Amino acid sequence: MNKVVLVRYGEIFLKGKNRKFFEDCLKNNIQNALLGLNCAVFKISGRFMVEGYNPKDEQRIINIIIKQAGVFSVSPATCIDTDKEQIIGLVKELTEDEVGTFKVVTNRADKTFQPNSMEFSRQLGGVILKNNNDLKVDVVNPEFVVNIDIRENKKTYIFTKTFMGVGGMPVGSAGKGLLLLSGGIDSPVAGFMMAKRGTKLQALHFHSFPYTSELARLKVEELAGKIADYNAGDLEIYMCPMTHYQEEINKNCRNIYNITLLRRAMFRIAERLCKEKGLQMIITGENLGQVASQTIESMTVVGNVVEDIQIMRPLVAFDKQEIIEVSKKIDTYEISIRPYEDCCTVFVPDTPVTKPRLENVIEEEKKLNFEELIDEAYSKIEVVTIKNS
Amino acid sequence: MEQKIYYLDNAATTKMFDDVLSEGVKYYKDEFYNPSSVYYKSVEVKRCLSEAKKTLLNCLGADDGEIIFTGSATEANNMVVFSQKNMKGKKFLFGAGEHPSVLECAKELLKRGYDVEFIPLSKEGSVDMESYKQMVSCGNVAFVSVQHTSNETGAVNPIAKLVKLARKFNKDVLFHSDGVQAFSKFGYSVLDLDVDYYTISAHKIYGAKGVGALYIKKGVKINPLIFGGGQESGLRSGTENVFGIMTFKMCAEKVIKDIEKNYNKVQNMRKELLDELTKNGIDYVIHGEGVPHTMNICLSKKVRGETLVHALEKQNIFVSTGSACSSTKNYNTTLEAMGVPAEEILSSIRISFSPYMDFDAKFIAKTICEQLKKLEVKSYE
Repeated sequence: MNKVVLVRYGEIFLKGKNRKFFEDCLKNNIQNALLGLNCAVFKISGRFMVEGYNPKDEQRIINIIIKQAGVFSVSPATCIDTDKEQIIGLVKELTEDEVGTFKVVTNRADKTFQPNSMEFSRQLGGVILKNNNDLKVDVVNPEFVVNIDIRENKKTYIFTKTFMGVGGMPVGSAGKGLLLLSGGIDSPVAGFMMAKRGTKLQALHFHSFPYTSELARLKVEELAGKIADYNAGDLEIYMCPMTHYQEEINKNCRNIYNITLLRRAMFRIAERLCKEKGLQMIITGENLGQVASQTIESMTVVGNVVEDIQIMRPLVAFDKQEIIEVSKKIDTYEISIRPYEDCCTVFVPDTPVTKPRLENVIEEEKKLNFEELIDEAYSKIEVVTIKNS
Repeated sequence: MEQKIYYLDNAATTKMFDDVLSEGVKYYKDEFYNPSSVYYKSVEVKRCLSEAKKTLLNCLGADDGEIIFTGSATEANNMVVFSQKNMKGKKFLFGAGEHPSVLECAKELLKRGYDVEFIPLSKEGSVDMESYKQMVSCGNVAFVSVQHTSNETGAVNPIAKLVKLARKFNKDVLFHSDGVQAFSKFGYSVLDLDVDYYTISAHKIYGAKGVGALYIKKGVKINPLIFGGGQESGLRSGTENVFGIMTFKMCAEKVIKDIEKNYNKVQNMRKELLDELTKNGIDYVIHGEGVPHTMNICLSKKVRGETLVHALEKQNIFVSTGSACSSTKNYNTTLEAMGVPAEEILSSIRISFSPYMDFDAKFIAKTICEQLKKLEVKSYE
């Protein structure tokens, strides 16, 4: 008898000839995430199995695996040799402390096992009821399900709990992206959404010291730590200083364009970094209509500076409340709401332009030596590697 | 020549690791900054505190949840119990053998009109399962606090099972466990225990006095006990004890790494001492069953435990009559709850081992035997 964790994947099933690529990618991610917990990951038909771990680490292993994109669900199970008496004994043991309603589901890949699945479920149901007076059968809406998975290799897996994974596709299966990570509520969620679709993330954070503080930087590092849990390994953050650029805009340009000009610079830097690091997309937490810089006109004028790289805005059509819900789920909300300035909240004009016109913005940009300023900011980028938890 | 000290009261406190002390001093010298200030030196310190939380979470076998640093484990325990507001009319359960930092809170709740009950102990020192089952099955239990390992006897409570049973009858029940005497002694994960709150202390694992930590499961709420500058996410105001916290982190990493080796060593120490006591003709009785680190033992019914403690201290062997936090009181309530006869309670001592301290089973057993002989004669005179 040994304890195992069964890992099921979802969308990968829809893949055809290239399914193995996705399976290998997910297996690799799970193995990396579990490094240090002394266990082995195997592929069995249509799923993965983790075994050889210390039983005390089981819940931790489950918590780690459900954060791996591509995982549909996870069940801690007990594996025994296929033997009717042994199965009955274990099922009794597993259900003796339970209360409420249940049903038994038998899945018999080994058709030589008798009786058939329906009959065996019925028999086990009877055994459970006899052994525990606090239980009742409910086949329509049970509080828990006793699953008996009789495999062809003469092994049987028994489990009663299932934890849902994040779903999506394994990280690394859908390219690499650069997340513009501000420190607010939206950008960590945008990163999570893309990681969930299989994008391996790196992040770019802009700061304006001394207008922004070290505390804002610490906040970004902590957010990155949370995102790293979904990123199949470490997360690199590029820290880019925008102070001089922002001061120059503020000094030389009409201040209603402050944010538009700043964001155009950010996108230029992001594109340059993507090209240098071989990243295929820029990911932002922009959300249509949320603030002045996120109207369709602002997004168009800002996005206009990016020529060769795709811009992904996974939150574009979300409501704020929907974004908050996800941020709570991924544990970034409480960090995001810490009240530190970020570079988009300094030098903010009273009435920022909401419908900037490209020709006007270009006119304003001409008042700056923007290429030199961007070179300067780019040359001062620092890299910080954030480990997952 | 100075006589060697045999310190066998490690459940009361432990001697700080020399290397941790030397390393930790920098938080009073070079890194003395207030972690709440906004300049980079302070932010560096804040970052260290964040790392310490992460380390402690990992040492507790968790990957998420919160760690809140407090001024002691007693404070953490008080915070948990007195945080349970708006629960009048619902039942609070406490183990009858809890440490005074929980037990006294329970008594205070009782005074304030809360519905509080104490779970009886079995003779092994853990909570009595049958009584517990009956108590939780009323369905009105909103809060349970049961220590993981007894500070008096070393008895271990099956926390995961107790939590499961409590949730069976009320899925919203909040479960706290005082893990001060269990942390770093044997391997477990708070996720596996499934507790909502778990208390640990630095000075029981070779760290500084004046630092406790409370683990709070992800999604579980708690209210502050101390208000002020909003440190610890507003849950525990007051400038953080950076030195204490950082030594806590260092010690936890060190001790957890050697957890199995240490366990075996302590088990051997205990066995050696018991064997030597037997060889010296001492007919002892041990109260409770659990970790080998803490042993409540009656060596002779003719000698009061307190007298023996003082006689041994003269020989530089330090043991206690019970938890340092309750030894100022006259009676050991844990042993009483276990049904130990009164005369045995009064003549019992607590010996608690450490794998890191000097130990000489032969000498200690011989000295105990000599002292007992002297004292037994005196008590007859």
